[in-house]
Amino acid sequence: MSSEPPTAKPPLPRTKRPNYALLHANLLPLTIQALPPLIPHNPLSILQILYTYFFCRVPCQPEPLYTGVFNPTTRSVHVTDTRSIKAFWTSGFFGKGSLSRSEPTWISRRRRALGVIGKDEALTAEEVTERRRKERKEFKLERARAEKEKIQNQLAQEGKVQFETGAVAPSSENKSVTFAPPETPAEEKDQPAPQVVEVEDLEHLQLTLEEAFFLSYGLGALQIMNAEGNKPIEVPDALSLFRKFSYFPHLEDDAILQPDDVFLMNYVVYHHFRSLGWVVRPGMKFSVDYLLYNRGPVFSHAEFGILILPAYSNPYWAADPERKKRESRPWHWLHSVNRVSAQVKKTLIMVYVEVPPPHEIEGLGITDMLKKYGVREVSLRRFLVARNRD
Amino acid sequence: MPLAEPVQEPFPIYAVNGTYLLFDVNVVSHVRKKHHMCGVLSGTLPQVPQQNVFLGLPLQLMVEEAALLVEKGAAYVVDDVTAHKKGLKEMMEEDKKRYMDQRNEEIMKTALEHQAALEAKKAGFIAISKDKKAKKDKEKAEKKAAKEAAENDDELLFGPTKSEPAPVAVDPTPAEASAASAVSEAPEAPEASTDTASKPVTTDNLLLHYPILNTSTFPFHSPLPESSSSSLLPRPNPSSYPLYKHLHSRGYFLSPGLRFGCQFMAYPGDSLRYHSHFIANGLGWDEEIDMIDIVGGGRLGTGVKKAWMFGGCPPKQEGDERGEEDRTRVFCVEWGGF
Repeated sequence: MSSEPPTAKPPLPRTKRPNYALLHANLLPLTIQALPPLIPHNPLSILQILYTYFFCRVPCQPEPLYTGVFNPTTRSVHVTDTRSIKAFWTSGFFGKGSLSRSEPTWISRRRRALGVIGKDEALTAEEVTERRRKERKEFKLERARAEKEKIQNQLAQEGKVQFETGAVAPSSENKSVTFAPPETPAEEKDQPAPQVVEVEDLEHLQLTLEEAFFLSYGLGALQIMNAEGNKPIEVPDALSLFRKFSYFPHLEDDAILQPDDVFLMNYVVYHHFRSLGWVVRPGMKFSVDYLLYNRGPVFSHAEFGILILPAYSNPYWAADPERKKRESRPWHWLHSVNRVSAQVKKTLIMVYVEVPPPHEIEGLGITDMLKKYGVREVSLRRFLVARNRD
Repeated sequence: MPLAEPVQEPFPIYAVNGTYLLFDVNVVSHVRKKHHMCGVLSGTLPQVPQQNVFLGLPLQLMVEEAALLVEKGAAYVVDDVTAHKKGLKEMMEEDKKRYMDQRNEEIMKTALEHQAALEAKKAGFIAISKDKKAKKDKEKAEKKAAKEAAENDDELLFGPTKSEPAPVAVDPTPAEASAASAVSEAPEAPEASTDTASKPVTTDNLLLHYPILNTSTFPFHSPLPESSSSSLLPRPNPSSYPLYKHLHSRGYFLSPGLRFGCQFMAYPGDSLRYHSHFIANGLGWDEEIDMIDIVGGGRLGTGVKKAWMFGGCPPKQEGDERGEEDRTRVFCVEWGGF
């Protein structure tokens, strides 16, 4: 009985995915009000438009503004209220849950572990990945075992190995016992769960400094509070604060800021791609500065990896060999980065940021200052003669 | 494979425009065997010039390899261009003549050997094919004769009605003729081949083979070690050289790793036998490493089942007698999925 081929387990039922197109219909955390249509032969429509325009205008920005607290230790902006978290994640994919991979889902995983919600209810991205990996692992074990058994049977038929058919069985059974973790204890744990457990959400959303600055300066949707959380930070103050915190250790208050500090370079590129409609997310895990998503991480994989490189082509920088040296990188570095992005099927884009000399941006407002920066993109792909034919 | 001639140390390394080359195959195998250095073959193979997958002499050494060989006193660097010119200029007229004579003699000798070998091969081949052909023809003739005999028998049955027995008379002849011609031709063939073989080899009929002589081992081209100036000495990257020495001193074979995105690939033995275990990058002791580069290195190494390694040499402490190769510390990074 045990020697007969084991019946393959039915694949896990596919859980229905939420309607992401509806969930993430808003591309940015702003509300955009459409004016009533203009009907040429109906003069009243013009009046209606004017009326709506002057008297019924709803501001784009949320009311009240979403809030986040600047955290100097983690060099990020923490968002703790549910409304802001939801808005930032669903419209624009800003930030990352502090206890999750990207979307803040710790609470639902916790609830499932405590038995408040069902086993297959509202699966999070982490759980889906975990299940897929488990399924794949089991499939591979099963395949290896079946192959081994086939060979044993063949050998037995040929009379090369002498054993009773029962002799193989214990090993296979052993295997299934050792490798497939028993399901029952989890279910047992589920059963006697208390009826209603109020789980406190311990997770917050972390915005990188660039994201926070884009939300507050670029969109005006975020109010950044100081570290104590009692006073809002004005936008120009936020800029100089973030620039100081892009150094390690961070600069003191009276330090002179350089036009090529990490925050400014990153922000120029972040703003550039966000304003062109891309969803930009940090790409540290793929050894690039940013990842570009077409619509967002829930819809598709990132298509491009962004590398930010400073370009000191202004004649002012000719006298600065230290910076010129920073401009040039070794060949093996480029090959390494390119190989890594080719492995994960992303196209590498090197973004050169033209750095203006410090005297040109001194005393300018944020917008004027950002205008002095230039951005050039160079796309790079590994080409294999034999493989890239079609 | 013929045994390599013993190589006398120090041997010359030829510097051409900043690259360090070895032209002598004996030196190449000596370096590989004794010094664990593989270098990179960089010359076109004369027999298969239209590809660049398999390359031949000269062997290009990495700067680190050349530097270490010089440091060990196993080699000295010669500037190829000036040495060549100088050697030629300083040569006396009779020396030149003697050299040319010697060279011609050698060419002649190799060409004769080659020709003789070729002829022997040809003769052997002809003998074999002749045997085969004779056998085949004989079989064919017999078969045909038998067939015709059968046909004739058939025809004999109806003989009187058919008024043309001509085929009987005519037909056997071609088969026989061909057999005969094969037989009669056969003795001629070896004669012809022996003819050419017995012809004296002159410069006129020596069009088959031009041996390539190794010119770099002649004394005029290998100046003595004294002449190597300090400006020629290989200057390896000070941040990666200690790492090279460290791994080399522990028996690793290192090869350049540019196309794999690193400075060196470290093989546990000869690179023809083993896969590399590490892809290594050398860094200065106080050099800052970008977090992104660590992530990238870890992914790069793990993606090809190797470990990404970086290492540097701390500055010399007082009372620390160890050399760079022993002081160097290395670290490995692998990408772990949690």
